[in-house]
Order: sequence, then C-alpha cells, then structure tokens
Amino acid sequence: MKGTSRGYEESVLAVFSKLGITLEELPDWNCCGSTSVIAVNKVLAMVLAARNLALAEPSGLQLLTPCPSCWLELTKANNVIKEGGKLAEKMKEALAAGGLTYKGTTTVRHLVEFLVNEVGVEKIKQYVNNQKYVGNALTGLRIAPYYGCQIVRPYAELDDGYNPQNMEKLIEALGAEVAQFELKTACCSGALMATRKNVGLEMSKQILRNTKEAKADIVVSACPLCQLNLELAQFGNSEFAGKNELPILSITQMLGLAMGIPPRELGLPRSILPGVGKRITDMQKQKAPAAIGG
Amino acid sequence: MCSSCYECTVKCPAQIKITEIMYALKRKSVREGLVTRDADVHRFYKLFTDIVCKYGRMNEMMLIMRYMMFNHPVDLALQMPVGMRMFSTGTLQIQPHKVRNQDSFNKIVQKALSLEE
Repeated sequence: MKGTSRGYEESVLAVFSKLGITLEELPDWNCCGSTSVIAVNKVLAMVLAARNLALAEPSGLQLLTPCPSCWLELTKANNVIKEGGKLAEKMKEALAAGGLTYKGTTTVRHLVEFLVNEVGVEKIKQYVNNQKYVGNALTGLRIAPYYGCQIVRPYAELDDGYNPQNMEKLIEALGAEVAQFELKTACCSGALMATRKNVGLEMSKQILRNTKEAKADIVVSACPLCQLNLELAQFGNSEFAGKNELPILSITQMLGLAMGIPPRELGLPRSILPGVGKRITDMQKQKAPAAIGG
Repeated sequence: MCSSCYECTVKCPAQIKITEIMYALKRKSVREGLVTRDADVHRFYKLFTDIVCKYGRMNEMMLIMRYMMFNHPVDLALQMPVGMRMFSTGTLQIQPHKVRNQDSFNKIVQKALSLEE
C-alpha cells in the first residue's frame, strides 16, 4: 500500500477522514507474506502474520485491512493460535524470541465488510445525498463489483461465499447501477501475472470481457492486486484501448468520488492506466447530465 | 500454476484442503530442488520471502529486477513501458521500506525459520 497500491491507501485515508473515523496505522507493521511466503516456509508465513496481530493486541483496537490476502493470512494465523497445537506453540515461541506475546484477542476486519457492517449503508448514503458538489456523482454509471478470490474463499465469513453482495450494497448506496457479471469471484491470477504472464493476462482479460458483456462503465475491486492486474491486462492492449478502456477503481476510490472528494486526493492519477480521472468525468458528463446540473 | 484462489478447496465434496496441499507441494519442491530450469516460479516465491525476511516489507522493484534481470531479460525489457509509468506515478519505490524494530524482527524471523518442520 506504500508502493504499487499507493493510490488505494490515499483513497482509504481520504474517505475515512471524511467519514470521521480515525485510523491508526499499525506501528511497525510487516508484510503478511501473502501467497508467496507460505509456498516456501509455513511457520514463517504464520509468524509474519501473527506479528501484526501481536502488535495490534495491546491497543485493543480492531485490525482493519484493505487487502483480502492480508485478511486471509491474518485470519488463518488467528485461527491457528485460537485452536492451539504444535504450530501455535511454534508461532508463540518465534514471537517471544523478539519480545512479543499474543493472547489471541485481535479482531481482523476487511475494508469492504467494515464499510457495510460497521459504517453502514445508510450513513454512506447520507454523505452522498448531502453532496452540494455533484460533479463526481456516479448516478447513471454502471459499475461491476469484482470481489476476486480470497475475500470469499476459503472463509465465507465476510459475505456469502458464492454470491457476495457487500459491494453491490455499496454501489447502490452511491446511486450507481450494478453491472452484474458471472465471474465476480473468479481469480485475476494473482502472482501468476508476474510468473506466468500469458496465463495471468488471459485470466484477467476474461474477467474484463465478462464485465463488458454486462455493459460495465467501471470495475470496482476489493483487492489491490486484482486492481493492478486488471489494469496491467489493459495497458498497451489494443482490445482495451480508447473507448474500450475500463477504469478499475478501489472501493474507497469509488466511494470517495461519490462523496465529492477530488480524484487527485483519491490517488486516481497513480493508476497504471493514464487519465482515469478524466475518463470518469467524461463518462459522467455523457451519462448523467442531470446529476451534474447540466 | 496454482494461484491460491481456493476454488478447489471450496468445491471439494470431501472437504479436502487442496490449496493447503498445493502449498505443501510447493514447499517440498523448493526444499528438495524438484524444479526445472524453465519452471522457475519457485524463484519468485524464494525472492519474495528473502526480501520480506530482510526488510519486513516488500519492494516490488527489487523483486521484479532480481526475478527477471538475468533469467528473463527479454520479458523484463517488454515491461519497460509499465515500469516507466509506475516510476512516473510514484508507485515504484527504489528505496525499500523497512520495519523499524529490525533487531526484534530479525530474531523472530530466525526463530521461525529454525522451527520450520
């Protein structure tokens, strides 16, 4: 979130600030290991995740993550600690070597379900309806909710595992239309975009094509890697050039636009696809002249 | 080739944790050197792990350069336009971010590695 997904982080901070919710960045957080470390060392992977859980515990605050892979690894580590056993003992031993302890009381939340369950659709609607500045309204636009894999599998704690609805609720709260498509929980290919590019491109492109079949103007993503991959699959690709380009927004970038936060503050210029902010403004002018006051 | 999408785990009627088995197979192949020259995905996983062990955080530029510079130079060259775009938007960090409590972090990592099964 400090590197390739810097724009996503900027949008999270901007939206939460506007919602009046204080976020405290976990001091000295470390990489959770995602899907790569666990392919090399299982104990290390669980310990990396557990270190974050241990660092968060003293504050008593909930640990909120905008990334499904982090949510999954943190939740896995939490489950291992709570169930106890040999792996849990090893994890505690490793943490103790660095002077940390973890009793198992940290709660892990993911951004999308937090916005729906904790902040609430009604509160978000208020912010959107109270907007005097409607230049960024999303009314009349069709937005495709792309969940990706790790937010619904293997744990279906946050939402329905086969037909999740949290993002649809948010899209509708913002006054936009949901562009429903079949592949909304299909995998974008994750790390394969780097290691098996031909496979990665096909996996991401078929998702994009499916959203186009649903006549989507914009795709909103729950995962920073999915957002990156769906952009990479379009970059320099004539199939998605010009009018065929699909802006890919993170959940808070979408929310922020509807709440009247300028695109720049939402990190839109940081997208791999140039001119995303302008493309969306053009779409709004085309599709929702009434909302713009035109 | 497994992207850890967990589709198989969820679909399996016998509730076998197939994705976790895939991870175990990946770990085994890395440990026992059961890899071919062309199939070098294990290098990516190892490099990722090495960078996280050293800095506590990821540095994408370091990862991609080390993964591709000598082993996939043509593919790396083809990625130049993307790389330039990411530089210009400030999303490609040259200086790695690090955890501050390096001493404590290193001890935790070393212990975890020593406890690996």
